[in-house]
Amino acid sequence: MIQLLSSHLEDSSTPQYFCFSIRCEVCGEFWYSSSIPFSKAAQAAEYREKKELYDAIYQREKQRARLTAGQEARERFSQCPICRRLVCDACFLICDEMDLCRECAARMKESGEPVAP
Amino acid sequence: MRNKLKEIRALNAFAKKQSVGMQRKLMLYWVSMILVVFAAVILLLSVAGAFSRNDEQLHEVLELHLKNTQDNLVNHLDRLTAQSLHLSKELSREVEGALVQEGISLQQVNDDPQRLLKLQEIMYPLINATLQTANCNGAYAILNATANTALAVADHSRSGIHLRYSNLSASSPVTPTVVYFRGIPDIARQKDLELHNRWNLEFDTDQIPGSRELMDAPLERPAERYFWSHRIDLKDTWESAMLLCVPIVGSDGTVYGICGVEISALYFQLSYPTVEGQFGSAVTVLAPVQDSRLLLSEGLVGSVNGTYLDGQEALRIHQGRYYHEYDTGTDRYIGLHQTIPLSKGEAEDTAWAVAILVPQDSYAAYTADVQKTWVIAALVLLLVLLALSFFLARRFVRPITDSLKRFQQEELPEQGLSSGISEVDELAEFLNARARNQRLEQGELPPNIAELFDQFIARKDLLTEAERNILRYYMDGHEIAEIPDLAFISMSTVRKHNRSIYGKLGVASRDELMLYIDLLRRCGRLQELF
Repeated sequence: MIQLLSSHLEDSSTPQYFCFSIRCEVCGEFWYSSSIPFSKAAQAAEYREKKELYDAIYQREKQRARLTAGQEARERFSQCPICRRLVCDACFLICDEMDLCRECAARMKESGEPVAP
Repeated sequence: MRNKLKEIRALNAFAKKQSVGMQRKLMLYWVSMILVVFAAVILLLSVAGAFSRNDEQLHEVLELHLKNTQDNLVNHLDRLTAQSLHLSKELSREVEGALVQEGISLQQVNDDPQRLLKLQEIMYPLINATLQTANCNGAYAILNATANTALAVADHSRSGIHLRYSNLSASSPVTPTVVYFRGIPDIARQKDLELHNRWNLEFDTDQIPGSRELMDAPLERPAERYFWSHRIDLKDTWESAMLLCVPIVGSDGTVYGICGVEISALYFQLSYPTVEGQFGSAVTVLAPVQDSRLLLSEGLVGSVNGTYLDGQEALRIHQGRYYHEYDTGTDRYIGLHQTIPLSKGEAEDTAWAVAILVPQDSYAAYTADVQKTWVIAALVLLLVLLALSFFLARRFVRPITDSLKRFQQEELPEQGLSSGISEVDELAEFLNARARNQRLEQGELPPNIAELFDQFIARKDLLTEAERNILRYYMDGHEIAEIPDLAFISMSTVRKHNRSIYGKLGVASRDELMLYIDLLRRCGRLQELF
């Protein structure tokens, strides 16, 4: 699941902050992860001669922030077992037989309650 | 008061419910056993007579009795001696006066009945007065003279007067009748006295051993030599008596004769009755002691009621610590004796003794009674202690046997059900715990746990397929954090399912759920959840 989420994470980071987003494939809404500031954001602007070093640190922290974002996305996204799409909790229904995305549920006429109303 | 009683009962009931240590119970049991042994020892000792101080008591009683009797008897005999000495002096004076008046000696009175009569007439009032005043049953005076020297018996026949009481009995001791036993009958007629049915004119001095010697030897004064005769049979009668022989001494040392008092065996019997005591009838005896023998035949014996004494025995003396034994050959008596001085100036040294005799049979019966009381008391004590021991032993063993029965019937006592012995309770608890563990190991469950499991398994039907899918992950040993990756659902979805699962299965937390799963797995019932 974490790999699936990682593959769906889109990079929305800036030089000062790390942030990632995932788009629900049912409703199209974006979910943004919590912003994590780059630890050397201020220094990077002042010491240009260390740009290479700071870039390496940036990439390392970004990678860590991606993992964190993936963990965060784990709380909110599920994969519909029928259509295999990644859907947010608002579009994912708890049904009796199997949990389904809203569209699949509607198509199969399964009733259910969304995880996040 | 009632409230107090209720409180005490409640307290007693509470105390009974408390477990008591086996050591304390065993201690109580041993104490009771020791008491039983103690009682048995007391019983044995009492059978052996260790507790009866009868011998010491008998010694004290006999000693006291002997002392009293001795004081009494010595006092009695001393008074008689004093009165006889007084009689002797009076007679001496009167006889000597009469002889001097006549101008003759006593030898010249021989073969002269008239002079003898005259002398006896002088002597009679003195003898009668002595009889009346002294504590005796007869008084006499013998002159060293006879009425007919030509007779064959003249050498041992002597003239004199002997007055006696005739009708002595315990029933009429106050008004005795004086009879004339020896003496010239003219005086009896003058004084209106009845002659004794065995009356004789003169005394036979052979009947009174020592009297001739006393009359033949000159003396300075009567107190120089006198004696009590052995018990002698009064001639031609069934009676016997002891005579106090005091010489009648003239101013020139001539002995005119002897005088004194008589104590008959009957009089002594009446004077010294048996004393009934706890140890039996005590008989007073005044008798000579020779060669460790108490010669009753030569002394006087008090009343013999309650004994088999006939006054003729010679008792062999066996010295003892607390008392002496006196053996007649057929019967045995126990008692004490004490020698007393009776005579004075006698060449023959006869030791006289006052003795108190009690039949050994009656003493043995008394000691047997005392011993029986001790034995019965000890036996009762033993029985009571045995009963107590039996009771305590039953109480001691009962909780153990009851618990054993329960164990045998596999009815393990519930916790809190006390057997009364803490060690047994601990054993029961231990066996309970072991049995529980064994059951769990064998897949058995306590009834209440099985019921809970049944309910838990029954409730799994309420779960949806999706929830059952989540539950299966848990059953496979996965953590909550692993579920999203495995099921491709969000953590929020997992949590929502969890809430639903907990609610439907009736558990409050995942820990409780996992406990159920673990227990079901141990019991082999986990597959029932699928």
